[in-house]
Amino acid sequence: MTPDAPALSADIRTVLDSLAGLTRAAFEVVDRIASRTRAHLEPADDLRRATLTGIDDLVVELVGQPGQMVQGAGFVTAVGLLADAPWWLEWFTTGEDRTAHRLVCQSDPEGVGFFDYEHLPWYVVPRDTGSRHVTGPYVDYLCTDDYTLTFTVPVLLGGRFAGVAGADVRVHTAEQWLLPSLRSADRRLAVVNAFGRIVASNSGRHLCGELVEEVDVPAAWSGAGRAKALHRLEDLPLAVLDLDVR
Amino acid sequence: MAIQFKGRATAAVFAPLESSSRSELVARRLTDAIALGLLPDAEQLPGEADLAQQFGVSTVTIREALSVLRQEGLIETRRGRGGGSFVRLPLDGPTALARRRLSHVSLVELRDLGDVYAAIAGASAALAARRADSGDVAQLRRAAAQLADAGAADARRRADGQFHIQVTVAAQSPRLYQEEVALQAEFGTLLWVAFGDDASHAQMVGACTAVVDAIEAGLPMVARRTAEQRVVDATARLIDYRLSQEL
Repeated sequence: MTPDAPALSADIRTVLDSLAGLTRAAFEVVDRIASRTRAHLEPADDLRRATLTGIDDLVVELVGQPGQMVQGAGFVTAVGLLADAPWWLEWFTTGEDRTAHRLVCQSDPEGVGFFDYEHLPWYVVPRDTGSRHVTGPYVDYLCTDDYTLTFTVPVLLGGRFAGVAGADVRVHTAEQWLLPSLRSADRRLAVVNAFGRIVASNSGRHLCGELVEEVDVPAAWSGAGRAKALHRLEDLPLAVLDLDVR
Repeated sequence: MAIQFKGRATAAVFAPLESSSRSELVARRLTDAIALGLLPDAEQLPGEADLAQQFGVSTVTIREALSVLRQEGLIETRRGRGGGSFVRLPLDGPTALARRRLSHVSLVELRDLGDVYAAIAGASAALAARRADSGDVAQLRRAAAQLADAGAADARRRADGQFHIQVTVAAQSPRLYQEEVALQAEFGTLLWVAFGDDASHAQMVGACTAVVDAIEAGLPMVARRTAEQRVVDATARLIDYRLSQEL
């Protein structure tokens, strides 16, 4: 990834490729939802819940596909976008049987159990940076009740932020995807996020969900400290960390 | 082939899956939700088909559960246009429901519930102190501030519940999160019979702040001890209350 790293070892290359495959598959789903959403919002004068009708068909089709690694997906409106629902999630999740169910949330801010997403990173980061983002691994207690990675992109309407399109992948699924490349490596590697939280590794001392202790990942992320051990994936807050670099 | 049971724990593995009736479980969940204030007074419940889909049970099971709630006076069903099932809170609110339940729970059961809750709360806080990143700490601070600002007993209860959920989230454990939610429904509702006044609220805010401080400082032992002590104190307060009441 970094131009000054002359010979990226085959081990690390393989894990990075595997990680890239995972994020590509997730963002393909997200991008299709984003473009369908823009197609619905752009011609409408008056944005209401009904304007979103039709996005649901696409999302249900996408999350219901056999072999699909995405566990839930949809569009979340910018706060205040819709006249009749200031907070709104057009979101569908699947269970074991792969049938999609609409996620029912309390969208009335005065209501009990109101789903206040305005402070959550999967919404805030794409809004503030204008870029795609991966949140997690984190306990998604608002939707999947599971340990999750959430992939989101901002949806812009005439240059203004209109919400995020997104997809959830269970960490369980991501692990299954990443483990073959990790297991075939001859050195200790971990897939981490920008906080240094482990998504998956090939070491029993580096468990999913824990923060890497031996490397200050946030520092390495900005080029300081043990930056050479960190191999970042594209523009995303995910990287492969070489635990054996001293 | 006969299975040799090596005690109750093994027997439980092979116990029939339907041993406690599913309609009872549905009724219990809805009752807890009403007691917790998650389903407020006059709230319309989803239709039978939707409930069946959400709980993953048959509509017959839902109908049985609703009839239990109807007999207990917790819902009212109206027919025709605009009809459906509506929550009916007892006159003195969720507390009356919890007090009714408290009268059926012995002191030893309360102590045992308190032990489990202390174990879950302590383990969650200790893991959170090892695993929380700066985003997790910010969410915990937000939840603690919401608890400090809450005025009404009901708002205080919800903010307190939310705070402890955030601790399990910072611990990165879906299982601990689920245990916390289940214990809040089972035990939290009872605890709140003895809480909500200004003195207990100030104490609670202090305890939650101490837990976040230990998590932020990355001190698992301190976080565990502080979280456990909060539950021990709360349980003692509930038992004192139970002893002082003619229930």
